[in-house]
Amino acid sequence: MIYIKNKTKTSLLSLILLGMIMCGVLFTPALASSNYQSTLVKGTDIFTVSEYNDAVWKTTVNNSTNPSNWFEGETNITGAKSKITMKGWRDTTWEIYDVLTGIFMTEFFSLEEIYPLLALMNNLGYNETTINANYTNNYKISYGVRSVWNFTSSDYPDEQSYIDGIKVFKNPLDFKSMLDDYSNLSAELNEKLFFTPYSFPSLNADEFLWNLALNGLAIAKPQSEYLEDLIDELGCENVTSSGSTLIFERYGETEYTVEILYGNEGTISSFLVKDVDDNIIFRIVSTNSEWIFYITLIVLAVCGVVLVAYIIVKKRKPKI
Amino acid sequence: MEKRTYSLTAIKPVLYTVVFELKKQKKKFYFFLAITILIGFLLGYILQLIPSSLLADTQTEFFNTGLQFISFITLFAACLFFSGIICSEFNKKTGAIVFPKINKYKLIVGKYLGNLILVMAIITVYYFLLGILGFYYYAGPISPKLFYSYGIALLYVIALSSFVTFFSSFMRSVNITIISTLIILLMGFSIVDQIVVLIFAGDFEPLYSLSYLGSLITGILNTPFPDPRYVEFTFGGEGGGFGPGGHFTFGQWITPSIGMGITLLVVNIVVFFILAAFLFKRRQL
Amino acid sequence: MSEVVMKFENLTKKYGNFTAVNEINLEVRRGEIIGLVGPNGAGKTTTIKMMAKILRPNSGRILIRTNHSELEDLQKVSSTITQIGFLIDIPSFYNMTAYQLLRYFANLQNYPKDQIDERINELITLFKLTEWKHEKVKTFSKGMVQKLGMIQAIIHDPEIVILDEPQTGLDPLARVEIRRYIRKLQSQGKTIFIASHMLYEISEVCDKIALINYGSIIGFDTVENLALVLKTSEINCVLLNPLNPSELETLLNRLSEKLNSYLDQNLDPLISKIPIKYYPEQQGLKIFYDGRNESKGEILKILIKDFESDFTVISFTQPKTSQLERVYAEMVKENNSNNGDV
Repeated sequence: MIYIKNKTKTSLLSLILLGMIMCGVLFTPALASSNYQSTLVKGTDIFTVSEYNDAVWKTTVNNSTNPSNWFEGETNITGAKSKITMKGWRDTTWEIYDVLTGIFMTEFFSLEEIYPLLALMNNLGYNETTINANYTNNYKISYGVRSVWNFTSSDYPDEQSYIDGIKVFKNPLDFKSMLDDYSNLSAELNEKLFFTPYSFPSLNADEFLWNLALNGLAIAKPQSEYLEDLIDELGCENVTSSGSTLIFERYGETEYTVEILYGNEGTISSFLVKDVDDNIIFRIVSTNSEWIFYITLIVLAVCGVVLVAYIIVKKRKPKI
Repeated sequence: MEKRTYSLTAIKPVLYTVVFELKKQKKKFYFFLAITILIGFLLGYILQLIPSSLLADTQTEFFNTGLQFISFITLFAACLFFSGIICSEFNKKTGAIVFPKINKYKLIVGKYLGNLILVMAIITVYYFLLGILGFYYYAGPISPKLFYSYGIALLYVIALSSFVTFFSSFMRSVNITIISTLIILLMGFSIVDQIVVLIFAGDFEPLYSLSYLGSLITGILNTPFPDPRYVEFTFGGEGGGFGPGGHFTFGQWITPSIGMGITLLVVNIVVFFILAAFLFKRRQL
Repeated sequence: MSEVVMKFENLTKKYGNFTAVNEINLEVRRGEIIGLVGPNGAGKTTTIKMMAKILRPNSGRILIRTNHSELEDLQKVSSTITQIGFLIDIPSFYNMTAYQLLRYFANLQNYPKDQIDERINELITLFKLTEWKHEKVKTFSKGMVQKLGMIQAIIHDPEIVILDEPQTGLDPLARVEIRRYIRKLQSQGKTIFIASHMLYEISEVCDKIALINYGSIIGFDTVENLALVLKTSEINCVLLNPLNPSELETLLNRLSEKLNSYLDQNLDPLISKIPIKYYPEQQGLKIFYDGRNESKGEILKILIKDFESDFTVISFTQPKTSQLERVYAEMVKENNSNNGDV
């Protein structure tokens, strides 16, 4: 029988306990989901406008806009950079009211409009309780919080430009029921809001997905199946997927294509706008500096090993 | 014998003492280093593995949060490394062996520098850890403010070391030195600062307080630098004064100005060390 | 006569109203072994601490000759005196290994860097601490710490070695080793200053003894000369065969008659009532004589020639210790009465 000293025993026990607690903390969110798993990671991605052709944009996408309409800041300047820090996330369940306020209203109305509109809806009998009572679908999501620095061609300011939320719906099939619920609810509301300046736009599947993609849609793993399920369930007509890339066939001044590539973390990794001849009009690529961090760690580890080896060799020298 | 050189101004004894002190305090250093890395790693990495524990908005805020603990580490390290620097020579009578061999001023400088290197190394490791984690989470570059903060932290730890060395120069026992300096630094200054603020409000800045000067370590990370540096928080209703109908105003000096903070830290370093060295020279075994 | 390497001039140290060292005047010459003897609290360690600049004298000064230069005031020598090695009181070390400590001390005292390891090994072997070279001091016994204290005092090969109670905590064998080493140091021309309350240890190695009591030097000379102060000395004779008890009284009377002119006529009754004593167990005679060197020879001649038929002398010695003890007791007694003690 191996004799283990009491002290060692206590240390081992503590380590095992600590390990169990850590595993519990780390794996609980992962185990909670069923087929698709959120892969959000805390950290910062840097986005760079690597290409932008203003003339072609104007003749292809929109004569009166530039990419700043899609991504805030100096997106129309090649070399401009933005950074987004994923601060953390929480697994939660949304009801239709959360979807309405957290996705649709934030997209179609400004902050100044949202609060009076909610008050108005409340007066009309559409508050959180009544809406959720009539539309009973639940949606499991990972809701992430991130700090966003708008695109800039100069140094980033110390403070972030804004903080926003990112949503990973655990089940891509939920998008269809979300859109259906919205369509029904918005129709109801538009009737009641007929004499007010507010009106909820009606959305088809393509537009719904396009708006989501531009406003913090993140996807879960396995990514290709997720995107396929999402597109098929929604019944998109001009949206396809290829691996981790979502491809939108859109029409502005003329036809153009938008390709959104999702990275390992499930967030946008690159954003590409092309004309029908495959000429690149606009491209954003993301980089992160994790490799520098890991190289630093490797260098430190090597130094540590060398140091320990040196100490051992030195101690082994015969004592006179 | 002939080969020996005798120089009054030789700094070699100081260097030998520094090296000897580094070896002597090796275990204490490893202990503190382990604690420091553990704290840095727990706060900066392990805690961040919990998804719902939100990362700070910006890199400087992340540093600010991480550095809340640096003053504690600094304080404990300074107290434990420096409390015995002088009094143990008398208390344990090791001075009887070493005093005849080296000029007392050189001895104290050597011991002070040796311990300082170790304490500064601990601080440096903590900042390094924080720096690379900041780089990892916020994709670099590391904010220059971290380097300013590092500079202030080094000044602060030197000032603390001088302060504890000064205590060690007239205290009899190492343990009493540790306890008394910890009480003064952890509670004494804070209590006096509160009393001073209660009496003088914003009219008198507690620049005498090392703890207050230490707040510049995190203060310097703020964007913009706090202005005004004295703030008041009011609780309760209208009417003024204490009591149910009144309000309670709580004032606080956030941080000293950069120039004044640095100047006073340097003054503390110089004054306390000179006093300590002088008392050490005069003290007899 | 060799040059003076250390000189005490009216050296005084007071702790408040208590005078620990009172106007000491001493001269130490190159190559001498000087013993500072006194009871506990007499001022020995205080004197040595002043020599080591650990304590500052209230008045008076210590002059030192460094590097064969002029005598200089010790307090004005700004650097540490690398020509002196000190062992003060029971040594207390930082908890490091013996090697680390000795290397540090040797470095501090400017010992040639390339010879330090050799020197450490030499001394550590000499003091039989080889096995403990890389062990921490906290694992050492009291005797080993004392040995390490000796080594650190001489690690830098100083000209003057000052030892305070060097034999404290040592076993008898180690004491002999230390004495032997002290003599070896003397043969190398070193000057040695030893403080102790152990008279025997001191008298065995010292050329001169300084007797200290109540902080004052009450005598400073060779053991023999100090004995002359008392006008009495003793000789121990060991005989081949025991004396016949029935003839003992007659024999002692005859001895007294024959040796009368050399015997101590004013023998202190506290020491002995009669100048010649026989100790049957030791088969020895103790003769108290007048202390003159020429008397010693005459006594030996008479014992051999005139008492050839009565006994055979196999050993004729003059014990330093007992003499010193008597000298010391006498002087302390006198000093105490001067200080008002009963």
